[in-house]
Amino acid sequence: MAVLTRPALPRQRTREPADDEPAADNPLTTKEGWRRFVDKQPDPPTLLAEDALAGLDSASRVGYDEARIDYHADLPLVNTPVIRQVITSSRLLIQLNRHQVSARRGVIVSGASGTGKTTALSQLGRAHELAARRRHPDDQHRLPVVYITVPPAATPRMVAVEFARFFGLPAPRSANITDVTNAVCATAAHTHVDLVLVDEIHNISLATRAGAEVSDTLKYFAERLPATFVYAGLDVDEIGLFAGTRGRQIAGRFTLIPARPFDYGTTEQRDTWRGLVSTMEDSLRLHHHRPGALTGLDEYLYQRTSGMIGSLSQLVRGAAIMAIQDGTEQITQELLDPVPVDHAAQRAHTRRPRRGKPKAKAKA
Amino acid sequence: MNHWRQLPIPLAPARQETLASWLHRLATVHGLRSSHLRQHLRIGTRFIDSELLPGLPHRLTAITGHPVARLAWALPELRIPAPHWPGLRHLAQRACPRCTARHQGGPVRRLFAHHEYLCTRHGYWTGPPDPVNDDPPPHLAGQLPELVAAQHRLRRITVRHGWAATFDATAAATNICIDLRFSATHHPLWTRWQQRLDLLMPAGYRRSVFIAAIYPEVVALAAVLATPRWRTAAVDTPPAAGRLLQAAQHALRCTDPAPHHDISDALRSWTATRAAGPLLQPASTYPQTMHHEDGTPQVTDLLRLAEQRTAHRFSRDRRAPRTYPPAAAMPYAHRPAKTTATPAGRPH
Repeated sequence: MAVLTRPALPRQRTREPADDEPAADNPLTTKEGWRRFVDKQPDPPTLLAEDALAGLDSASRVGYDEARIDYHADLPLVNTPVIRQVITSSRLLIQLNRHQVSARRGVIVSGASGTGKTTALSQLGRAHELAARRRHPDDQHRLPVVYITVPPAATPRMVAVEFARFFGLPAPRSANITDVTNAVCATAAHTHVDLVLVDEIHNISLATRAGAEVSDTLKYFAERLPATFVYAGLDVDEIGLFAGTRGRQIAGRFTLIPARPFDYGTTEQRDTWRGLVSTMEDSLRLHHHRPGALTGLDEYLYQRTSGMIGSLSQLVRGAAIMAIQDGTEQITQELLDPVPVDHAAQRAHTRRPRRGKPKAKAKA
Repeated sequence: MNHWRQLPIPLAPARQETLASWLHRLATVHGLRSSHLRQHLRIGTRFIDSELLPGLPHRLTAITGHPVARLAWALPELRIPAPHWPGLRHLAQRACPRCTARHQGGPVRRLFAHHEYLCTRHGYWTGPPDPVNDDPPPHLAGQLPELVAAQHRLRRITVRHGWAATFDATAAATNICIDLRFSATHHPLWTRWQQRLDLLMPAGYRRSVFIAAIYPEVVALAAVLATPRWRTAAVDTPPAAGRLLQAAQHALRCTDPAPHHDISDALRSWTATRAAGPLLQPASTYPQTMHHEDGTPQVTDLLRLAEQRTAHRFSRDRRAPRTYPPAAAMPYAHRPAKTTATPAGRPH
């Protein structure tokens, strides 16, 4: 049988691009950055035995420690109750919305800063995208998830451009909002988008005209895209997102999932908090850390962080890095004390009366 | 931020597709305007000379992910050195829909070689361009199977004699057949062509479909005219002219009914003016013609009006299309080769 050979490709002169391009900036709000986030699988480093550790030369030891520092700087996330609730509720809604032609339901994650809203949103998107890839392994150009943030002082065109920016679509100045919207919707249809994550929703103020127009623009996208929309923002109820006619419609279509700090009152709440700390402790890779030591400091950790998952993560990761750098290889309260946390947690910690041993009463 | 980000749907170009067609399809699947995509790529609407825009292939690679070599293999405008433009038709045409079925975003418009009249694999007619009508290629081989054999034959002629001689012979044969169709109503060929026209084009007028009706005879006659022995000055002598007439009648599978000499008269005109002269060449090449952003040829109102007059004249007697200026004479633009050559690929 004759073998068909492809004709030789014409010889090409290699020419450098006329303009030097800067290094790529791919945040989570671009499909490249989002894909990298989804693909990232943190691989816990293997702790070397003592003799193997002693046998490392200085360069190898530095590399070994740097790898562990990188790992602890990006410690695997804990599956908190908020994350579980967001994922469960949203994935159910995605299935419910699948054959809806309009009035699709959505989710809003609302809470104070540091309560894990963005984390919940991104973990939802990641879980959904991984599931979509398993169902459609051959579709390399599928983009089931879109992630955008509402910019401050947003206008309808800015929101549309954020969508276009995620896809990498050009949006020249000559393109009006209709052009950008049509491009976004056509691309979303071709790439089978079925989950749209909109963060920083608190940047929309329904009390202003611009904010109302932005809300209308998001609603327009929600009608045109056959996707489930999940919003996240700071205390959206308090900023009036559900006020007025538009707000009532949002309230009628979106499920509100509050993201609150962990409590430490009841036994169950303490067990939950302790379990969270224990899960984080299990992911540590320190040579001399005593198992259970961090869990034993659960009350101290709660006081330092006021139950904020973001502050807890910062505290534990920071302490782990310091433990590697100073060679102690274990986390103790003395090591945790100097680790900085965010101002809100620090302020709450300094205001709260410390629980300690009661002062000895003076003898009569 | 990197200005050149890859688009979500990186369509691959089709073989011999024009850059305008590919960019239009790329824009369509993304819901973009072609002008916005071109603006993003910093190119205009005129013919793209890749030697003058060295950064363009890299920008196209950046937005699609396809290697430069792959793009240049598919898109003639990106090749360095430039392709031999006179060997390709001067207008982009719709490709065979079956061959390009996997390409999304609308019809693929590509450049055909002069001898590519039919997709022999799927039977779609890709004959001479019809600039005023953007019709999809009709499936004529199902109605006229002899088109397939004729196409294979024309390909063999091209391989044997080269594109230039084949173009010259095909153009001459087309003119001869059109003259016969117009004037020789008593000729056996007339009946044969009338039946085909009734089958392929029962109403209306399409320049390219008319050519399909006479295509088998055009190819058969072109096989004779392309032969070098008939391209000498001696062919004008009576003995040689007689042998040429016999060969032509044999190719056309008919003879002039007595007392007419239609084929003989048509050949005489050819031997007197063209046989020993320079080969006919296309009057225009692709870089010299204007196309819209979607890859369709730009047509002046004057040309459109001329075609309408031709169609109206044809509809009266369905003989042969008499072309009015500025509409190009059959097959679609040819003139005797000039003595001073112009650089291929350079716009005038």
